[in-house]
Amino acid sequence: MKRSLPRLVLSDPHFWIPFAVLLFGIAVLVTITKGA
Amino acid sequence: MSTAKQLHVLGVLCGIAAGAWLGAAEAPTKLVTIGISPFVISLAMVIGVFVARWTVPVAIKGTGYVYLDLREKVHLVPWAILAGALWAVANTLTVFAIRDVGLSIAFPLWNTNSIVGMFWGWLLFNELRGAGRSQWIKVLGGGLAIAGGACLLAYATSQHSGLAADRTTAGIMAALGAGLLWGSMYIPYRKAYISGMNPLSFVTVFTVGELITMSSLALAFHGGLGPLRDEIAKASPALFWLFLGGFCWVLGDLFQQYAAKYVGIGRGIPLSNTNQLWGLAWGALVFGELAALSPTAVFLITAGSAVMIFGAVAISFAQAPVAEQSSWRNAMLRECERYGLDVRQVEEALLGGDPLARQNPKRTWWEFLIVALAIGIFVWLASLAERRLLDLDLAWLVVLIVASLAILLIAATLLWRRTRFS
Repeated sequence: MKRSLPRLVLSDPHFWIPFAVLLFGIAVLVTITKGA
Repeated sequence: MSTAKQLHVLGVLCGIAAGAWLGAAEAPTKLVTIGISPFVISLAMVIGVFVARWTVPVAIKGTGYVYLDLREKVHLVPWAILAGALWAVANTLTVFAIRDVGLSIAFPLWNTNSIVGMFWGWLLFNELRGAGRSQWIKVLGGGLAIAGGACLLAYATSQHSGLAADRTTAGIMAALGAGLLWGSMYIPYRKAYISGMNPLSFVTVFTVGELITMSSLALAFHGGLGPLRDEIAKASPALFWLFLGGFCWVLGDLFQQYAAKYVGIGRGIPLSNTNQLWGLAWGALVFGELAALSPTAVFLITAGSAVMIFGAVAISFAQAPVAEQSSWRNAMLRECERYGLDVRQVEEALLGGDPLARQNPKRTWWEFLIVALAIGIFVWLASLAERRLLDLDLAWLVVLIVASLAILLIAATLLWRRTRFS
């Protein structure tokens, strides 16, 4: 049976690499602005 | 000339044009950023980018075409939004990095984005797999030469005084973070193009992610809508220049997208990173920024520029051999299988064809309205713009504008003739 589109995207291991990098970037931004 | 060679030449030319226009984007913003919050600068540029990004694809291909493309590859919509979010956070990080450690330290750190992109291209999209040693040397060596040359330029043109020691760690973190984010932003780019999406469709959604993220960041860091609105109102005399910078940036980014499509991210990103060279040309020749530099600094700038040009030439000659192209094809087949795409159509799009155009998507009257509205916004902002007494070198201004327009015209004409902007 065909999987739904969101499942297909979320089960694509490539998707989680840029997503994790984005979260990391936001965390860096929050850290440096808190220390300013 | 073989198809592979034609597409390589086209991709390289797009990378060079990207460098020229991403560099030109720095020019309008040079004299208006003092005293404006980093978030407002980023937000204003992103709004300018948003206006241009919706207008250029509509003018070139029409909304019907973009809609058809997005509908066929709807799984790429979250990828494009993710890429836009990565760009917005990275851009904001660079503003903090420059503030905290200065351009000379920050730039080399975030310029690692080309090496990060090269790594992702190799790991996820089979770039450089099957390439011989000489191609590896040309691409990796060329990428390192462009990054190294850019570092020399940044070092020679920056001032080193007034850095607060306690902010150094934060600045370095911000710059490294920006490099990682920008380098990883190319994953969605390449993903879209090996799935046969048109770059013009991709940027239409990309810009939504950019605008949502940048607006959220600006709202969060400025304490809500009221304070942000006041900041934007204060910056209104500068908005035209920021929008104009955003517009030039869109043109450069579009060429960068086509470079990523036709030569891959490992070759495309280093080529578009030559924007540092163009930014320097604008600063030095038009704005006279380097007039007071020492002979050592001038030597470093000349050496850095020569190294960057050498790197770009090396990559220009690194056409992907048959074995590497076969690896690219495997990555494309993987995407087709996963997302149920039509292999023949995707393959045609990757070879510069335009299968969607056969469906004759209709052009509508309100596309003209969108373009007219965008022009109207620029004219309105120009009427509000502060007319500063700028000490510009008009002769060099004309030379650089003509050179940039010539590169734009050549690259756009070849793109149109060979791919119809596919």
